[in-house]
Amino acid sequence: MRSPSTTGSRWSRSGLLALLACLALVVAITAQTPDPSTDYRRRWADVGIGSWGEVENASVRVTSVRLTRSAVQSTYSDPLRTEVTFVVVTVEARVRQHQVYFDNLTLHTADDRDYEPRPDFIAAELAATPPGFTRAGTEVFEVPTARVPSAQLWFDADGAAFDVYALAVRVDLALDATTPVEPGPLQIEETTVRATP
Amino acid sequence: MTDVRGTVRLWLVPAVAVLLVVVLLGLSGGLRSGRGSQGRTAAAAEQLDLARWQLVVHSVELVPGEDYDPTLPPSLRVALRATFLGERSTYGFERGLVGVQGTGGGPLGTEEEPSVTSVRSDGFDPDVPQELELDFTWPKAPATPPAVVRVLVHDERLKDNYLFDADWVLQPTPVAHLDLPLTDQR
Repeated sequence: MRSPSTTGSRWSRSGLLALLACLALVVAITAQTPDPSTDYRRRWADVGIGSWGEVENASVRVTSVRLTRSAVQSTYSDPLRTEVTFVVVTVEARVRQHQVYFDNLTLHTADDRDYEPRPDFIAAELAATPPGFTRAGTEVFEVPTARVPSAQLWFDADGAAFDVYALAVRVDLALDATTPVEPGPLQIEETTVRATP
Repeated sequence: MTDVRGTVRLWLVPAVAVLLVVVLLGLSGGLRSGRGSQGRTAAAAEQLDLARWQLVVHSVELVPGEDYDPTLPPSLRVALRATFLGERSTYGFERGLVGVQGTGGGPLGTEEEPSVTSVRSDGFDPDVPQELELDFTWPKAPATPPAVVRVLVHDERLKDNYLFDADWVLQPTPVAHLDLPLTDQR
Protein backbone atom coordinates (compact mmCIF):
# COMPACT_ATOMS: atom_id res chain seq x y z
CA MET A 1 0.00 0.00 0.00
CA ARG A 2 1.39 3.39 -1.12
CA SER A 3 1.63 6.21 1.35
CA PRO A 4 -0.52 9.36 0.68
CA SER A 5 2.65 11.44 0.11
CA THR A 6 3.84 9.10 -2.72
CA THR A 7 0.44 9.31 -4.44
CA GLY A 8 0.42 13.12 -4.11
CA SER A 9 3.90 13.40 -5.60
CA ARG A 10 2.90 11.25 -8.59
CA TRP A 11 -0.19 13.40 -9.17
CA SER A 12 1.80 16.63 -9.02
CA ARG A 13 4.35 15.21 -11.49
CA SER A 14 1.57 14.19 -13.88
CA GLY A 15 0.00 17.63 -13.55
CA LEU A 16 3.30 19.32 -14.35
CA LEU A 17 3.78 17.12 -17.41
CA ALA A 18 0.25 17.87 -18.58
CA LEU A 19 0.88 21.61 -18.13
CA LEU A 20 4.12 21.40 -20.13
CA ALA A 21 2.32 19.43 -22.87
CA CYS A 22 -0.40 22.10 -23.03
CA LEU A 23 2.18 24.87 -23.24
CA ALA A 24 3.99 23.02 -26.02
CA LEU A 25 0.67 22.68 -27.86
CA VAL A 26 -0.01 26.41 -27.50
CA VAL A 27 3.47 27.23 -28.83
CA ALA A 28 2.97 24.89 -31.79
CA ILE A 29 -0.46 26.36 -32.63
CA THR A 30 0.91 29.92 -32.32
CA ALA A 31 3.82 29.12 -34.60
CA GLN A 32 1.56 27.57 -37.26
CA THR A 33 -1.39 29.95 -37.14
CA PRO A 34 -1.13 33.07 -39.32
CA ASP A 35 -0.99 36.41 -37.50
CA PRO A 36 -4.60 37.65 -37.74
CA SER A 37 -3.46 41.27 -37.77
CA THR A 38 -1.49 40.86 -41.02
CA ASP A 39 -1.92 37.41 -42.51
CA TYR A 40 -5.66 37.11 -42.22
CA ARG A 41 -7.57 34.90 -44.60
CA ARG A 42 -9.93 36.47 -47.06
CA ARG A 43 -12.87 35.32 -49.08
CA TRP A 44 -12.20 37.09 -52.35
CA ALA A 45 -15.03 38.01 -54.71
CA ASP A 46 -13.84 38.55 -58.30
CA VAL A 47 -16.02 40.98 -60.20
CA GLY A 48 -15.85 43.11 -63.33
CA ILE A 49 -16.40 46.81 -63.94
CA GLY A 50 -19.96 47.81 -63.05
CA SER A 51 -20.66 44.75 -60.86
CA TRP A 52 -21.17 45.03 -57.11
CA GLY A 53 -18.98 43.11 -54.66
CA GLU A 54 -19.35 42.72 -50.91
CA VAL A 55 -16.87 43.81 -48.24
CA GLU A 56 -17.57 44.02 -44.51
CA ASN A 57 -20.51 46.43 -44.07
CA ALA A 58 -20.50 47.72 -47.64
CA SER A 59 -21.17 46.94 -51.28
CA VAL A 60 -18.60 48.37 -53.69
CA ARG A 61 -18.18 48.67 -57.43
CA VAL A 62 -16.00 50.31 -60.06
CA THR A 63 -17.92 52.50 -62.48
CA SER A 64 -15.16 53.60 -64.91
CA VAL A 65 -11.42 53.34 -65.62
CA ARG A 66 -9.33 55.83 -67.62
CA LEU A 67 -5.62 56.25 -68.28
CA THR A 68 -3.88 59.59 -68.56
CA ARG A 69 -0.55 61.34 -68.03
CA SER A 70 -2.02 64.48 -66.51
CA ALA A 71 -4.76 65.09 -63.93
CA VAL A 72 -6.05 68.07 -61.99
CA GLN A 73 -8.24 68.12 -58.92
CA SER A 74 -9.56 71.67 -59.01
CA THR A 75 -9.54 74.45 -61.51
CA TYR A 76 -7.34 76.48 -59.14
CA SER A 77 -4.36 74.13 -59.04
CA ASP A 78 -1.83 73.15 -61.68
CA PRO A 79 -2.27 69.75 -63.30
CA LEU A 80 -0.10 66.97 -61.95
CA ARG A 81 1.86 65.31 -64.74
CA THR A 82 3.61 61.96 -64.76
CA GLU A 83 6.21 60.30 -66.94
CA VAL A 84 4.52 56.94 -66.23
CA THR A 85 0.71 56.48 -66.21
CA PHE A 86 -2.14 57.67 -64.01
CA VAL A 87 -4.85 55.01 -63.66
CA VAL A 88 -8.03 56.94 -62.78
CA VAL A 89 -10.74 54.71 -61.28
CA THR A 90 -14.18 55.96 -60.26
CA VAL A 91 -15.80 53.90 -57.53
CA GLU A 92 -19.03 53.75 -55.59
CA ALA A 93 -19.80 52.28 -52.16
CA ARG A 94 -23.08 51.63 -50.32
CA VAL A 95 -22.48 51.38 -46.60
CA ARG A 96 -24.73 49.24 -44.40
CA GLN A 97 -24.62 48.72 -40.58
CA HIS A 98 -21.37 50.43 -39.52
CA GLN A 99 -19.18 53.29 -40.72
CA VAL A 100 -16.54 52.18 -43.26
CA TYR A 101 -13.21 53.96 -43.86
CA PHE A 102 -11.97 52.34 -47.10
CA ASP A 103 -8.33 52.52 -45.96
CA ASN A 104 -7.21 49.33 -47.73
CA LEU A 105 -7.87 50.09 -51.34
CA THR A 106 -4.96 49.36 -53.69
CA LEU A 107 -4.18 48.79 -57.32
CA HIS A 108 -2.59 45.35 -57.56
CA THR A 109 -0.41 44.56 -60.57
CA ALA A 110 0.25 41.23 -62.29
CA ASP A 111 3.75 41.09 -60.76
CA ASP A 112 2.40 41.53 -57.20
CA ARG A 113 3.07 45.21 -56.59
CA ASP A 114 0.53 47.24 -54.59
CA TYR A 115 -0.09 50.89 -55.39
CA GLU A 116 -1.98 53.12 -52.99
CA PRO A 117 -4.02 56.05 -54.29
CA ARG A 118 -1.94 59.21 -54.82
CA PRO A 119 -2.41 61.48 -51.78
CA ASP A 120 -2.38 64.47 -54.14
CA PHE A 121 -6.03 63.64 -54.91
CA ILE A 122 -7.15 62.84 -51.37
CA ALA A 123 -10.26 65.03 -51.62
CA ALA A 124 -11.54 62.78 -54.40
CA GLU A 125 -11.02 59.42 -52.68
CA LEU A 126 -13.54 57.22 -50.92
CA ALA A 127 -13.57 58.42 -47.30
CA ALA A 128 -15.27 57.53 -44.02
CA THR A 129 -18.92 56.90 -44.80
CA PRO A 130 -21.69 56.37 -42.23
CA PRO A 131 -24.26 53.59 -42.56
CA GLY A 132 -27.18 54.25 -44.88
CA PHE A 133 -25.15 56.42 -47.25
CA THR A 134 -23.67 55.87 -50.69
CA ARG A 135 -20.32 57.50 -51.52
CA ALA A 136 -18.84 58.08 -54.94
CA GLY A 137 -15.13 58.78 -55.32
CA THR A 138 -12.17 58.74 -57.67
CA GLU A 139 -8.91 56.94 -56.97
CA VAL A 140 -5.80 58.01 -58.89
CA PHE A 141 -2.87 55.58 -59.03
CA GLU A 142 0.55 56.35 -60.49
CA VAL A 143 1.91 53.19 -62.07
CA PRO A 144 4.79 52.32 -64.42
CA THR A 145 3.24 51.92 -67.86
CA ALA A 146 4.48 48.33 -68.28
CA ARG A 147 2.56 47.31 -65.13
CA VAL A 148 -0.82 48.71 -66.20
CA PRO A 149 -2.05 45.69 -68.23
CA SER A 150 -4.03 43.18 -66.12
CA ALA A 151 -4.02 45.44 -63.06
CA GLN A 152 -6.82 44.90 -60.54
CA LEU A 153 -8.43 47.14 -57.95
CA TRP A 154 -8.46 45.46 -54.54
CA PHE A 155 -10.95 46.45 -51.83
CA ASP A 156 -9.10 44.62 -49.08
CA ALA A 157 -10.40 43.89 -45.58
CA ASP A 158 -9.36 46.00 -42.58
CA GLY A 159 -8.59 42.89 -40.53
CA ALA A 160 -10.05 39.61 -39.39
CA ALA A 161 -10.10 37.04 -36.61
CA PHE A 162 -8.33 33.69 -36.99
CA ASP A 163 -11.58 31.76 -37.20
CA VAL A 164 -13.39 33.72 -39.95
CA TYR A 165 -12.71 34.73 -43.51
CA ALA A 166 -12.69 38.46 -44.21
CA LEU A 167 -14.69 39.67 -47.18
CA ALA A 168 -12.64 41.34 -49.91
CA VAL A 169 -13.22 42.27 -53.54
CA ARG A 170 -10.96 42.12 -56.61
CA VAL A 171 -12.05 44.09 -59.66
CA ASP A 172 -10.55 43.28 -63.04
CA LEU A 173 -10.00 46.72 -64.58
CA ALA A 174 -9.92 45.25 -68.13
CA LEU A 175 -6.67 47.03 -68.96
CA ASP A 176 -4.27 45.87 -71.65
CA ALA A 177 -1.48 47.32 -73.76
CA THR A 178 -3.99 48.75 -76.25
CA THR A 179 -6.03 50.72 -73.68
CA PRO A 180 -5.80 54.33 -74.87
CA VAL A 181 -3.99 56.92 -72.74
CA GLU A 182 -5.81 60.25 -72.78
CA PRO A 183 -3.63 63.36 -73.08
CA GLY A 184 -5.43 65.08 -70.23
CA PRO A 185 -5.46 66.85 -67.97
CA LEU A 186 -8.39 64.87 -66.63
CA GLN A 187 -10.57 66.78 -64.19
CA ILE A 188 -10.80 64.80 -60.91
CA GLU A 189 -14.05 65.53 -59.07
CA GLU A 190 -14.26 65.65 -55.29
CA THR A 191 -15.93 62.75 -53.50
CA THR A 192 -19.68 62.99 -52.95
CA VAL A 193 -22.04 61.29 -50.50
CA ARG A 194 -25.81 60.85 -50.55
CA ALA A 195 -28.42 58.86 -48.66
CA THR A 196 -28.86 55.40 -50.14
CA PRO A 197 -32.34 55.21 -51.69
CA MET B 1 66.58 34.33 -6.79
CA THR B 2 65.01 31.84 -9.20
CA ASP B 3 61.61 33.09 -8.13
CA VAL B 4 62.50 36.70 -8.95
CA ARG B 5 63.78 35.74 -12.40
CA GLY B 6 60.68 33.67 -13.02
CA THR B 7 58.42 36.56 -12.02
CA VAL B 8 60.30 39.00 -14.28
CA ARG B 9 60.02 36.59 -17.20
CA LEU B 10 56.35 36.09 -16.47
CA TRP B 11 55.60 39.82 -16.84
CA LEU B 12 58.36 40.90 -19.22
CA VAL B 13 57.56 38.52 -22.08
CA PRO B 14 53.86 39.51 -22.39
CA ALA B 15 54.79 43.20 -21.96
CA VAL B 16 57.36 43.03 -24.78
CA ALA B 17 54.84 41.18 -26.95
CA VAL B 18 52.17 43.84 -26.35
CA LEU B 19 54.68 46.63 -27.04
CA LEU B 20 55.71 44.95 -30.28
CA VAL B 21 52.07 44.73 -31.39
CA VAL B 22 51.52 48.43 -30.58
CA VAL B 23 54.67 49.43 -32.50
CA LEU B 24 53.63 47.36 -35.52
CA LEU B 25 50.12 48.84 -35.33
CA GLY B 26 51.57 52.35 -35.21
CA LEU B 27 53.96 51.72 -38.10
CA SER B 28 51.12 50.38 -40.26
CA GLY B 29 49.05 53.52 -39.62
CA GLY B 30 46.52 51.92 -37.33
CA LEU B 31 46.90 54.54 -34.59
CA ARG B 32 46.14 57.55 -36.80
CA SER B 33 42.85 59.21 -35.94
CA GLY B 34 40.35 57.79 -38.41
CA ARG B 35 37.39 59.46 -40.09
CA GLY B 36 35.65 56.17 -40.79
CA SER B 37 34.78 54.76 -44.17
CA GLN B 38 32.75 57.05 -46.38
CA GLY B 39 32.00 54.43 -49.01
CA ARG B 40 33.01 54.40 -52.62
CA THR B 41 33.44 57.56 -54.65
CA ALA B 42 30.48 58.31 -56.89
CA ALA B 43 29.78 61.07 -59.40
CA ALA B 44 26.86 63.43 -60.00
CA ALA B 45 24.13 61.87 -62.18
CA GLU B 46 25.37 58.38 -61.32
CA GLN B 47 22.69 55.84 -60.42
CA LEU B 48 23.14 54.58 -56.85
CA ASP B 49 21.34 51.29 -56.20
CA LEU B 50 20.43 50.76 -52.56
CA ALA B 51 18.40 48.06 -50.84
CA ARG B 52 15.04 49.83 -51.19
CA TRP B 53 15.88 52.97 -53.13
CA GLN B 54 17.57 54.10 -56.29
CA LEU B 55 19.09 57.57 -56.06
CA VAL B 56 20.59 59.92 -58.63
CA VAL B 57 22.14 63.01 -57.03
CA HIS B 58 22.12 66.02 -59.37
CA SER B 59 23.60 69.03 -57.58
CA VAL B 60 24.18 70.98 -54.37
CA GLU B 61 23.26 74.65 -53.91
CA LEU B 62 23.40 77.12 -51.05
CA VAL B 63 20.00 78.82 -51.04
CA PRO B 64 18.72 81.71 -48.92
CA GLY B 65 16.03 81.44 -46.25
CA GLU B 66 12.42 81.71 -47.27
CA ASP B 67 11.27 84.77 -49.18
CA TYR B 68 8.60 85.52 -46.60
CA ASP B 69 11.16 85.62 -43.79
CA PRO B 70 14.69 86.75 -44.78
CA THR B 71 15.88 86.23 -41.20
CA LEU B 72 15.66 82.47 -41.65
CA PRO B 73 19.07 80.85 -42.13
CA PRO B 74 20.17 79.58 -45.54
CA SER B 75 20.11 75.93 -46.48
CA LEU B 76 22.29 73.51 -48.33
CA ARG B 77 19.97 72.10 -50.99
CA VAL B 78 20.70 68.66 -52.46
CA ALA B 79 18.69 67.98 -55.64
CA LEU B 80 18.15 64.32 -56.43
CA ARG B 81 15.90 61.81 -58.12
CA ALA B 82 14.59 59.05 -55.84
CA THR B 83 12.87 55.85 -56.90
CA PHE B 84 11.33 53.53 -54.33
CA LEU B 85 12.00 49.86 -55.13
CA GLY B 86 9.68 48.19 -52.59
CA GLU B 87 6.61 46.12 -53.37
CA ARG B 88 4.01 48.42 -51.78
CA SER B 89 3.65 52.21 -51.72
CA THR B 90 5.39 53.83 -48.78
CA TYR B 91 4.72 57.05 -46.92
CA GLY B 92 7.77 59.26 -47.30
CA PHE B 93 11.43 59.54 -48.18
CA GLU B 94 13.87 58.09 -45.63
CA ARG B 95 15.64 61.34 -44.75
CA GLY B 96 18.66 59.68 -43.15
CA LEU B 97 19.72 58.18 -46.48
CA VAL B 98 21.51 61.38 -47.48
CA GLY B 99 23.86 63.58 -45.44
CA VAL B 100 26.31 66.41 -46.12
CA GLN B 101 29.86 67.09 -44.93
CA GLY B 102 32.93 69.10 -45.81
CA THR B 103 35.21 67.45 -48.33
CA GLY B 104 37.72 66.69 -45.59
CA GLY B 105 35.09 64.64 -43.84
CA GLY B 106 34.43 67.24 -41.14
CA PRO B 107 31.00 68.59 -40.20
CA LEU B 108 29.72 71.74 -41.91
CA GLY B 109 27.40 72.76 -39.11
CA THR B 110 24.20 72.03 -41.00
CA GLU B 111 21.26 70.33 -39.35
CA GLU B 112 21.50 66.55 -39.66
CA GLU B 113 18.03 65.85 -41.01
CA PRO B 114 16.83 67.74 -44.05
CA SER B 115 13.37 68.98 -44.91
CA VAL B 116 12.12 67.29 -48.05
CA THR B 117 10.40 69.18 -50.84
CA SER B 118 8.69 67.69 -53.86
CA VAL B 119 6.03 68.83 -56.28
CA ARG B 120 4.13 65.76 -55.04
CA SER B 121 2.41 65.09 -51.76
CA ASP B 122 4.12 62.56 -49.54
CA GLY B 123 4.06 59.01 -50.78
CA PHE B 124 6.31 56.92 -53.00
CA ASP B 125 5.05 54.25 -55.34
CA PRO B 126 7.09 51.22 -56.45
CA ASP B 127 9.41 52.08 -59.36
CA VAL B 128 7.94 55.56 -59.89
CA PRO B 129 10.73 58.18 -59.70
CA GLN B 130 10.29 61.56 -58.01
CA GLU B 131 12.46 64.65 -58.12
CA LEU B 132 13.26 65.86 -54.59
CA GLU B 133 15.05 68.74 -52.90
CA LEU B 134 16.58 68.04 -49.51
CA ASP B 135 17.22 71.26 -47.56
CA PHE B 136 19.79 71.05 -44.74
CA THR B 137 19.43 74.24 -42.69
CA TRP B 138 22.84 75.91 -42.24
CA PRO B 139 22.53 78.52 -39.46
CA LYS B 140 26.19 79.61 -39.57
CA ALA B 141 26.86 79.38 -43.26
CA PRO B 142 30.07 81.32 -44.00
CA ALA B 143 30.06 84.38 -46.22
CA THR B 144 32.42 82.53 -48.52
CA PRO B 145 31.23 78.93 -48.60
CA PRO B 146 33.48 76.02 -49.59
CA ALA B 147 33.75 75.39 -53.31
CA VAL B 148 33.01 71.69 -52.88
CA VAL B 149 30.90 69.74 -50.38
CA ARG B 150 30.59 66.03 -49.78
CA VAL B 151 27.23 64.26 -50.07
CA LEU B 152 27.08 60.99 -48.12
CA VAL B 153 24.71 58.21 -49.13
CA HIS B 154 23.68 55.58 -46.59
CA ASP B 155 21.90 52.29 -47.20
CA GLU B 156 19.41 50.37 -45.07
CA ARG B 157 19.27 46.77 -43.95
CA LEU B 158 16.38 44.60 -42.84
CA LYS B 159 16.61 43.95 -39.10
CA ASP B 160 14.61 41.08 -37.68
CA ASN B 161 13.33 41.63 -34.14
CA TYR B 162 11.81 38.09 -33.89
CA LEU B 163 8.56 39.39 -32.37
CA PHE B 164 6.99 41.60 -35.01
CA ASP B 165 7.63 42.24 -38.68
CA ALA B 166 11.25 43.03 -39.53
CA ASP B 167 12.19 46.74 -39.75
CA TRP B 168 14.41 48.61 -42.17
CA VAL B 169 17.21 50.37 -40.29
CA LEU B 170 19.81 52.81 -41.56
CA GLN B 171 23.40 51.64 -41.73
CA PRO B 172 25.69 54.12 -39.95
CA THR B 173 28.52 53.79 -42.47
CA PRO B 174 27.90 55.43 -45.86
CA VAL B 175 28.02 53.24 -48.94
CA ALA B 176 29.01 56.09 -51.26
CA HIS B 177 30.09 59.72 -51.25
CA LEU B 178 30.01 62.41 -53.90
CA ASP B 179 32.21 65.52 -53.86
CA LEU B 180 30.09 68.10 -55.67
CA PRO B 181 30.68 71.76 -56.54
CA LEU B 182 28.62 74.07 -54.34
CA THR B 183 26.76 76.86 -56.14
CA ASP B 184 25.99 79.88 -53.94
CA GLN B 185 22.52 81.18 -54.87
CA ARG B 186 22.20 83.72 -52.05
